[in-house]
Amino acid sequence: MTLGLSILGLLPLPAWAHSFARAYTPPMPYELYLYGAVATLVVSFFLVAIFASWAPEVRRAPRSLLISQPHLWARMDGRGGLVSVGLLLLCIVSGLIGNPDPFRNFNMTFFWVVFLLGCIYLAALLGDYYQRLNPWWWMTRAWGRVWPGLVRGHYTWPRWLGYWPATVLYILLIAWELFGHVRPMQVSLVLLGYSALTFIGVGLFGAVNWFRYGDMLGVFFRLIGLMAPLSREQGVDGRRCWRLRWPFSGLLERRAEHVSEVVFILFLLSATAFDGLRDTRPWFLFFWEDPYAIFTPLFGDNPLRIYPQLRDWYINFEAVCLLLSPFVYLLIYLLFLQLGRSFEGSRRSLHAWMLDYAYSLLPIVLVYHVTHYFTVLLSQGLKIFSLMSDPLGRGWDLFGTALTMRAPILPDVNFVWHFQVILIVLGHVVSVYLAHRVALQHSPNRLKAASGQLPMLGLMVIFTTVGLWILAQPLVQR
Amino acid sequence: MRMIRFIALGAICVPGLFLLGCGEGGRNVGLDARDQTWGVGGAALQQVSEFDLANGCYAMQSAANEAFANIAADGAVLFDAPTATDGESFHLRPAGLGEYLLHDRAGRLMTAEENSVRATSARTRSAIWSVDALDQGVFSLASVVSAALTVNAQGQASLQSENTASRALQSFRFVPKVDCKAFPEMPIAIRGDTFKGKGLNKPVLGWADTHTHMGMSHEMSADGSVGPSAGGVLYGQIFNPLGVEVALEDCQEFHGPNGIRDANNILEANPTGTHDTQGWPSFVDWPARNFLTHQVMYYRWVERAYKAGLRLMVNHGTNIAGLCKVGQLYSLHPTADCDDMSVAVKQVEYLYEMQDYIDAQEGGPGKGWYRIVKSPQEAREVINDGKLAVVLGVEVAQIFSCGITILPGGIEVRKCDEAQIDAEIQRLWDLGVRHVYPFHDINSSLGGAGIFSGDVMNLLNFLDTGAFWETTECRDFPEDEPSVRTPGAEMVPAVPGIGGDPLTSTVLAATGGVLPVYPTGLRCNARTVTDLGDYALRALMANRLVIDIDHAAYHSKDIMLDIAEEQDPPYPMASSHDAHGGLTSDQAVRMLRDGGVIYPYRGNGIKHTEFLQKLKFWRAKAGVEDTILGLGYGADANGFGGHPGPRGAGSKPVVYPFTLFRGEGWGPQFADFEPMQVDLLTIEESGKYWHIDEVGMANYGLVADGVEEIRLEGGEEALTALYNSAEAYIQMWERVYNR
Repeated sequence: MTLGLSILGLLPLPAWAHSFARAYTPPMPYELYLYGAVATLVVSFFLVAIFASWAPEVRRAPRSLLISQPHLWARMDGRGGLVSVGLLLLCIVSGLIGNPDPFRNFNMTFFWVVFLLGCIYLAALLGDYYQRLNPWWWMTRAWGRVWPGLVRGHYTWPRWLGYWPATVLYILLIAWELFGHVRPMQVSLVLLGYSALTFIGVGLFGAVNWFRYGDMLGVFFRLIGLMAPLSREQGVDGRRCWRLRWPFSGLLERRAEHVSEVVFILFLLSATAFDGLRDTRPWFLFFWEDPYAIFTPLFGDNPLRIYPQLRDWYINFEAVCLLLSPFVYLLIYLLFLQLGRSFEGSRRSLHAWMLDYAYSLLPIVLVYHVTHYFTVLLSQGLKIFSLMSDPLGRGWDLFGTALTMRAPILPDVNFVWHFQVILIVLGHVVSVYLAHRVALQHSPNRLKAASGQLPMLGLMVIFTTVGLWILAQPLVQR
Repeated sequence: MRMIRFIALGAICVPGLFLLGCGEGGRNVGLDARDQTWGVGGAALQQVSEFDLANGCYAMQSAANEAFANIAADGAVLFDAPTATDGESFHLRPAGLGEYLLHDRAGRLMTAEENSVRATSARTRSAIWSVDALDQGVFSLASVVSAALTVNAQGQASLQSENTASRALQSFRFVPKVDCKAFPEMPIAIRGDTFKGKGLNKPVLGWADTHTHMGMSHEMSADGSVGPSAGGVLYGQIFNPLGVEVALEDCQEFHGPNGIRDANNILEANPTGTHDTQGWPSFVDWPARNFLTHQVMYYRWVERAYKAGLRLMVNHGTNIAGLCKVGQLYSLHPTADCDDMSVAVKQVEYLYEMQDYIDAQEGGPGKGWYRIVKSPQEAREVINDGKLAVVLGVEVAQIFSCGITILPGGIEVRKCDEAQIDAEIQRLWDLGVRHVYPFHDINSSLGGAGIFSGDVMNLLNFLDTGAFWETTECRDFPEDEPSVRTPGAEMVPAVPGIGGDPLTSTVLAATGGVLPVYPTGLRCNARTVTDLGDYALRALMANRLVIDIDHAAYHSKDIMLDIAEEQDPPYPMASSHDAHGGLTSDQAVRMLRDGGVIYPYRGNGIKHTEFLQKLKFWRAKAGVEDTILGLGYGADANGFGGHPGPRGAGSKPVVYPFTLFRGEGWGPQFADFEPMQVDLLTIEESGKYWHIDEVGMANYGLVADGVEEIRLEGGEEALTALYNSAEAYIQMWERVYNR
């Protein structure tokens, strides 16, 4: 997921830099980090291959790890809907009539930073709580009490449709965020449009189907929630409980259902990577400075000199790259899976392999997301406390916090870099482990499972290398 | 007879009335309205010259029919009000020396139309009136684009040639009132009177910004006749005769809808970027510390800094022809002047207009706080008078028009000679320029530029000279000691794996800089000081100009120091904004030993405090610890260096309002100063505010807030060094000037 933080001018580090800034130099050469990361992955792979027990069935956590839902949470469960609907309405209203300044208007920081960043990280800890707090679900439920036919829908969900609506909507959201002139007013209009689309979707296919397959945010939160060490279940007494489990183990309890869901996951990966890539200097310079004289003959002048004329062309080019990115990733993913099948001599179809291993990519999605955007949460997210006092940006101070926590938290660049390196490596190691566990479920023995996973190890090495390279590029400070 | 009575009335002096009418810069200030019935006693007026009307609130009376100006429903100006109370109240806002806008209570301006006068909301030059004092308290008005304002016996206002209308029809009085609508203006949000000096024989107190570009503007004149700087890359003016609403209006004309043609998108490597173009009063997206293509030195922002203690500012006329030509294409101003020296001179001349405009606001020539100075002694006098000394400088790529073209094969075509250098130095001196950069960003006939950006700047070098930089390994330097800036830059594209081996060197030499192919690692400019450069440096020294060492190639700096040290006594030089290209400890020590000053880019309070420790290290090593310890900065405002960000949430916050010159951190030298309160800079009309902890130095006004940052981070030592920085610069200048 790439989040529109460029809108807020808050992409983690480049925002604090400019073209004449001095570059941050890591204490060790970049290559050493790379070698270290790759070595860690390879060693991890072999350790997993040697020591991971062969367990065809995934064992669920024992009942003893069921804990009662905290009272406060239970109360929120009932009333959280009101809060979430209220926040949605506040976002819409503040964008429509509030201050057009993205930093002064509640909806930009809340929607892009608190909701799409903070709430995602919360889902990785607490599970798919969004399912019960989804404001559109609550509004639909309320509507359903008055007009039951609405939430039942008129058509069954076509199997071929899978998760494509959610996938397409999410791609559009990111494309809009990256290439649109996103302002508070536009956010409100998009939220209104999304609301209308949701109600139409619910009316056509019913609430259950729409929120499962069509609601991009619902799908996103559900996937992230699978990695949480908590899941919500019904206890023996019928009451809701929380079940403790190993982090990421939820990914082994289910598998992807449809190619569209796989594309959704791959887009989460590719969009973040693309967002990072397009912010790197080499990407920028390759086109605009054209040091290899590729584009100058095409356009008749150096691209940088004719930027105003090329801007739209460039946006279209980047938009196409973004749209194609999940499919490029899909091709690469399938290629490595096919290699794995060959290595293992598996008779399971490539389609089955594709669905089997898709969830094992989600830890990478999470770490990409965190490494790219956690600084935004620190620099801009905390401003929500001041914005609560003045949601429309009109100089109010409703709770006496209007000037509170406006100063950004600016972590040390050295810390950021090393935190990113550790997270990236950790995410890929977890991914390797999960993929191996999946392989053990389907392979006849450990050796075959390991051999089938060798290409996946290669894929992880590529992902790690590219991820670290992208992250290393914008590290500049003044 | 009427005319005589009119003049007689105007000549009667009522002490105090004038002071009330025009004091305090007069913003939204007026007097009790007194009916000024023609010939029937009443208070008369004290305005002696046309400058005395500045920012007062008045009713306007015509000599022709003795009636006062009124505004009809359709905006027509009629002189039909029998008393001043019945007449319209005009805020007389200076548009220049002796020029005014007449701003009514509805926010409209009295505007010359074809042959009539109307109050309109439009902000055009037709609203500017040249006012001349005919006699004490009696004035004539003429549109700067049309003819003289006349009123007939029926009270109808029209425009006629000054020569065709009788004097009575062109004569007006301004009767003080109190109910004017304030003319829109940027607040400065500082309370209290700023300090004056303690005597000409005492060190000055106040800080120095030794590198900034106040002349950068999308129009380098008050009357709109000159054109934009930098090809129109930067939007916004430091002032406009029509006020802030026009000076900082909307950048769409230059940056395109939603800013899609803004060069900042390229500078920030965000080619798909957009921004809200609207300026005053909402300022949604600009000015901001990382929006380098919008005006940050509107004069009221500078005034805020001055009030807080800015006392010396070196303003450089600047241009980079290569960048300017790109700017022409972006801003759709293809005819904008891009000649380096021409643009620089225009910017410097524009600053004289700035001085006049501020004088006009403050009541006439010489009364303003913005004073261009041409000698260190003059600077001392101005600062002692509690004003800002403005030193003029030039920082351009092709100084003295000494550009160069590199032909294939490395053949150099120089664009200047020694005679031209001499003539240009004289031209600059006559213009009042006293601080010069011999090198800047692009290679020239004088030598190589300091490389600090291995990509876009190299492309600009190519566009300007026809060749990319030729680089070499940077010489060794004491890496365990602090540098102002470590030398060299990683070049793009560097070819991984190639280095200093003979084969690589042969290949690179063969390309002669035509291809931008470089070994990996930090590279320095291979071009240093040429024979012409050597001549120019010695000529600058002979002419007693301050020479800035920044932007010279790293190895050129050694040569510059050698030449400086050949002089007796050694010629001091300045490093005013972070020494692009590199300035290492050994060079810094030499500079200080020679009597120079080293000021960094303007950082936030943390950076200021850190740099102070470096400066102390170099001073100790140079053995000059007994000289004054001053640490100013080079803000590079309106340049492309960017501005400091906030210190971050972990720092002790700046709490508004805060007090200057009293309390913890303020040493005894400030005890005589009146304390001043600095408020959060907020525009009342929109609620827009800039909090330094949130946005950093979004505009130059936030420099005042930076003082509190420095107090919080560095305490008394850091504040003292800051407020000693003007004195330190002046002492360096004296060593240059009094040779």
